[in-house]
Amino acid sequence: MRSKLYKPSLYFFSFLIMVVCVFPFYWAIVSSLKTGSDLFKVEFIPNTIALSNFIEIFKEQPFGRNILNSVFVAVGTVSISLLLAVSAAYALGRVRFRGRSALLLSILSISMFPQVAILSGMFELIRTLNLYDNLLGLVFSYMTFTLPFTTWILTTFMKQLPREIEEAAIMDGASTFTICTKIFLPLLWPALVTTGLLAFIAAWNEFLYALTFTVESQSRTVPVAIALMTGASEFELPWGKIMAASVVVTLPLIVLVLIFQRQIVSGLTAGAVKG
Amino acid sequence: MSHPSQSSYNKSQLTRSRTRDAWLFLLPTLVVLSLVAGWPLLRTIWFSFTDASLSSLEATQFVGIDNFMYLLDDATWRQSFKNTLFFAVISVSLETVLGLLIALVLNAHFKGRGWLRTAVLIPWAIPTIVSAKMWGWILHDVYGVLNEILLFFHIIKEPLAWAASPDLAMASVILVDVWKTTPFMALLLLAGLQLLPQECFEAARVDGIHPLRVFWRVTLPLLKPSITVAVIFRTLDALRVFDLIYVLTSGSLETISMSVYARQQLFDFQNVGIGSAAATLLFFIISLATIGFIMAGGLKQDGR
Amino acid sequence: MAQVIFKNVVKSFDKTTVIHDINLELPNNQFTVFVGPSGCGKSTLLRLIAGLEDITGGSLFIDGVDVTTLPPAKRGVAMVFQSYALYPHMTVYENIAFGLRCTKYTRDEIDRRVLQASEILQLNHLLERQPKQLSGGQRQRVAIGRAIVRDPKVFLFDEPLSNLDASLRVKMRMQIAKLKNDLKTTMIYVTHDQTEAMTLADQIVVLNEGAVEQVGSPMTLYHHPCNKFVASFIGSPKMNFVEARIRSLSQNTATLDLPHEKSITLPVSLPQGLILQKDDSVELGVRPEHVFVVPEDKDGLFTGSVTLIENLGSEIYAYVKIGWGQTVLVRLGGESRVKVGDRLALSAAPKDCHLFDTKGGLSFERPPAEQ
Repeated sequence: MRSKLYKPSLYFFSFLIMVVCVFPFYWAIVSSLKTGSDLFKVEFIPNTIALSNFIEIFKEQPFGRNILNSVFVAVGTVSISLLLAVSAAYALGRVRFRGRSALLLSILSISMFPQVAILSGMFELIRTLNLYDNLLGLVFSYMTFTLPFTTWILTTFMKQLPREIEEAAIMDGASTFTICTKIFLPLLWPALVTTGLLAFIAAWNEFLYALTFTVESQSRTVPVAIALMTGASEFELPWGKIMAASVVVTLPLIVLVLIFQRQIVSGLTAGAVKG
Repeated sequence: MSHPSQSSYNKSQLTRSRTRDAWLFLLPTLVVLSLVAGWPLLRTIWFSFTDASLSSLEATQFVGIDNFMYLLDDATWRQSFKNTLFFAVISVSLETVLGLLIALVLNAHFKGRGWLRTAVLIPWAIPTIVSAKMWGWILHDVYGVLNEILLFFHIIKEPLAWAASPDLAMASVILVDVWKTTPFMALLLLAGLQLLPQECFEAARVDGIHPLRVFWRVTLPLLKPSITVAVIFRTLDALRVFDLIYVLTSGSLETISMSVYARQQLFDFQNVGIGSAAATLLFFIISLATIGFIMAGGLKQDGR
Repeated sequence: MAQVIFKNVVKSFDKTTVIHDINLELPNNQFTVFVGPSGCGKSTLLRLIAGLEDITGGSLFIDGVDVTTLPPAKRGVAMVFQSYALYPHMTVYENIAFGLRCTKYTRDEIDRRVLQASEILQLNHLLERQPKQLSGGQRQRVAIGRAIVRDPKVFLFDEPLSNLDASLRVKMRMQIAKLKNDLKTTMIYVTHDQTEAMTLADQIVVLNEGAVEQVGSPMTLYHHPCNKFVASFIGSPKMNFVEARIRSLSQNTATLDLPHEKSITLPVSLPQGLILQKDDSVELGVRPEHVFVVPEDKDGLFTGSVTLIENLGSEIYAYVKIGWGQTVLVRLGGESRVKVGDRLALSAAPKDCHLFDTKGGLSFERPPAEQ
């Protein structure tokens, strides 16, 4: 029934997609392992493996510090927004009250609106709060996108929990707080992991605020550090080092994604398909 | 009258305490959101009617719609507007078509499907900045590997400057965006595909209908809601593009987007008034697009 | 240990009213079953007692206390849910103890009560298990245990057996019947299964479209249904309804014309406001198990040929076409040799016949003496 070309073409397409997806990152790894003039030769498998790029980004630049900054900002952002979002998601997902749909819609639209639209207002606010060039300022400003997004996804997950479990707890005389902490939180663990991971990736990758609200190279996060990495002369970009830095920050992400594939896909679809 | 009047309807203590708790539980999030999103947004809109500059945010004067008039006259702003629309339309269209293709491949049953799915997640997981840099290197005018490959296959005769050349800069930006975001689209559409009732396809197969016809007549119409939602999300996202253009082409005139323009005015030229006006305009364009989508019935917004 | 009273209770969701002005007394220490087709409001009624839904109008009393707006935990009621609603991340012990922990009992008291309940329900060896390691019947018992420990004044059961397979359902039904004898508490049970209703109930409340059709003991409903809805809902297979016409009326009796020039005379008592006249159309109701075969055509009420046979082994059901386009279902003994196409003459005792108004479905039967 199906044409004889079906299987071969399927495999051909899969191969093509795979190569296109993986090659750029592979090329970054290959380039990061080359130094000097080797970098400018096209070799798909490096002849010699040089780790000097990796050593230099940690020695000549505060790249280790930048990674710590990113970890601090991402972990801080994720913890605070999960904490707030779980309680908000309970209200939005489990209780019927007037104005709920409107609230949900505004929270969704906040996650949609352009970051640049609040840039000058946020800049003023951060200076007023004395958080300029401070990692706490980044955690604070990252709430604008992680909080609405985590609230939205957790609300979707919250709605999926069976109604009778909550009613059983109400009959048992549990308070709202007890229901949240003793019943829903344990049941939501997988959703929390998923949501936290997505928020972590979003915070880890953020660029605009990090670029705008930090000055010193000591307080930069990883994306800004990579974007602003310069070499010996102003006109020559240190491609080898940039690639090494890229590999260093991306590998952990890719490992995370590979481990949590299933959860990530379910989180993405919970956030969007049901939107 | 057997029905009691509405006024005699007393809500039970349970309902009242649940409603009260709901607001209590929402309060922190609402406070934080109004502080980090509501207030700065209002300030930005206010700045857009003033002559604020970065060095003296306090001593600003109301200037009416001067900033907006300036934008209307500014060729760079008009260019950034055109660029953004062009970028959004082309890249989202390409991503939708390619994403659908990849989703169909991922939905087929064959050995190694798991590997393919994993590979597809890689571009999504890579930070935008990193992918911009990676592609910047691949597209490098002198040492770029893409030129080498294309020369090897005799597709081009001499190396192209890609991101650095006025003609190809926007194409490069779109290329990188498509590479980075198509996987996301494919995953959303794949999820949609897997929700479709399998019986329809089995019935079509039993009836001996040509697969292409099945695709046009069954798959596509059934998948339309998923496609709509994915396209809306991606379009709203593409309209605010910043990172990629800022890093890949340093915001050259051929590729400057509205977000890049606004930030340039705000921090490079220190014209907070004009920058805020640009940001405000972008905000209203995106709001209009959102409202348009909602009116078109794309987004289901009921809270159930 | 408590009486439940509904006074003019109304429940609406947005604009649709699902419970219409219900007045009902559920007696102390009795097992009451709410039964009715799906969507009749029986579960809503139960949830109103539980306090899980707001009462739109009227009042509800439990044990003499107005609980209309009281939260569930303060009403002294416990509920067993259809899906059991066990907390999946807690052990059986924790599941049963959760309610007690919420109400701040001492550790020893909690322990004593949980062990006592698990004794009654034979759960002792399962206390450390998680719900996912239990069978359907065991989960059901844990759900009941969770209700028992709270020592409620009123037990509520929301279709507790509908998720079990047929054989387990019979077993659990017996267990609930035993529980009813052991605990001697007010129990209210919702089901759409009339066998459960008949076997468990002291009192049945038949509901339809948010209103009470009839309240009474299982036998009252079986023998003296007050209208056609109750008559057709109680009993399996369904009661036969045959069209008939009034030939003549006397003080307390009516003589009816049936197909094929047959007739029957029945005692009647007209409900208030109803007038019967000669040639009026009425419906004669008779249960399949009350119809029997007579040898001679002239002795029967109905006569006709068999169109379909259903053989259940111990008994046989025959569909007999009796004229005027009507069919009567009759129950025959398992040894019967009736075949499709056979002509049968059927009869029924006048005491087993019911008479209903064609339009409103009201029964013309003389009301039974109070029991």
